[in-house]
Amino acid sequence: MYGLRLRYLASIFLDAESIQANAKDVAGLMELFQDDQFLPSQAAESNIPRIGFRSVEGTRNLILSGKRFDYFHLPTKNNLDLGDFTVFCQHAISKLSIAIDYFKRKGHRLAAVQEGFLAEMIDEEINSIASNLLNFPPSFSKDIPFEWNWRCASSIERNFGKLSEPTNTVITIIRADFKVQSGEGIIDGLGPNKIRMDIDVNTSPINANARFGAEEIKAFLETSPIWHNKLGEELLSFIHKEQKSE
Amino acid sequence: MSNLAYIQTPLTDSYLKNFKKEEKDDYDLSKLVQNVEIVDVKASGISGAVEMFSQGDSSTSNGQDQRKPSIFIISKEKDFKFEVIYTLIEEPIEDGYSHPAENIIEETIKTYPLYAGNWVQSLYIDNLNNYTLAAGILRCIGRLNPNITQPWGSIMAIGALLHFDVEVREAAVRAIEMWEDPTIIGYLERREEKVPWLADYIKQVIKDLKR
Repeated sequence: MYGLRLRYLASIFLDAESIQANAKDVAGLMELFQDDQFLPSQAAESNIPRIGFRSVEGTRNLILSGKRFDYFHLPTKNNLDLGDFTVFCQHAISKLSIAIDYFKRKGHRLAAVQEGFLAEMIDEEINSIASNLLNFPPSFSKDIPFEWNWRCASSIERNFGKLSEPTNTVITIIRADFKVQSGEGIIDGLGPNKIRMDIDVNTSPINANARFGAEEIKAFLETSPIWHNKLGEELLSFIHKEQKSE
Repeated sequence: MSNLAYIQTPLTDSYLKNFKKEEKDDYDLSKLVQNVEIVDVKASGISGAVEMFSQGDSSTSNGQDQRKPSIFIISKEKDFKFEVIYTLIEEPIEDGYSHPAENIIEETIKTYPLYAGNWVQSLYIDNLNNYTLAAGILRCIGRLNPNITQPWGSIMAIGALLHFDVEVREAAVRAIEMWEDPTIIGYLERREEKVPWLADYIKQVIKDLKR
């Protein structure tokens, strides 16, 4: 589906305002992670020191901020391939479960997100996607826009583990001249016109009860790849559907 | 979330091989920071980039903000990293003598207190495979007053105790000893150090910290 993945993200929203960066908790987490390639660092949230970890090569990251714990994978100059989303989710289950158990917290919201650029396409294909997603007024229908932004959010009831929860299912598809850059220049190798697609499945923020522990995180993140794959296939089929000639 | 520390990819070893000590200006400073980020969205109107829309509460994506500090700060970070590495390569660290990199780090912490800790940490991680530089960075911050290096200094040192090179692990133990941080005693006690002389040194440090 993706030509270049920009980020995998798994988040748990919780009350962690009181957790600030300190050596004792970092040492405790390191002993539980048992991962000598996952190094501690101090992240800054405004001017509050928070606990962070990142892998030596920079791909795997964990930041424990005041309202959410985020585990995410990023592409690096030497490793653009983020691999399979299912594998990422397994990593996230391990790290996030350890973190919330260590701090004896439960979350009130869970999220699994993929962000990336679709595989390279010719202009005709890109314009066809625009026509499938958007209904243009006359001024734009003749000359298809070279930038546009489509976003859709629905509340969908989903089951994971023993729970059934309303989930925000959010798809964002954008055409623009994105550039992915490192200190040494453009790194992505894709053409100038890219389609970015983000898939975000997250439990509703309306229920603020702290109810998600390690078991629920595991169930949510084990099921997330199935939801994401289904959504991805559905979207690809939808955006590439053939136009009916009038 | 916009001020979360931004994540950088490590430096390659090749830049060190190509390092030109004699001409600072000849060196491509951009190679000091290799953070991957989305830097540009072509905007078609005066309203700005197409990403400027409200996502409300439905989306949980926190964007790429943690990787996008201002250009000014990125520039200062590059300068800082260059200067520290340059001085560490130029001048070896000797016991009993202060090193110019210590002053650079100390002044930077005072001038950019919100950022400097992250800069030092990423400089260390970026140079993890160059153990002489990694140990040098640790030794420099170990000599600074813990009031300005904590908690990130101890956090760095804890991570460094796992380093594959004994020189870096020793530098971490020295820093912990200098800071007299008792919160790390338990972790030090549970660490298995296989190099006998360093294991003895750690035992001595634990004993001193418990006093």
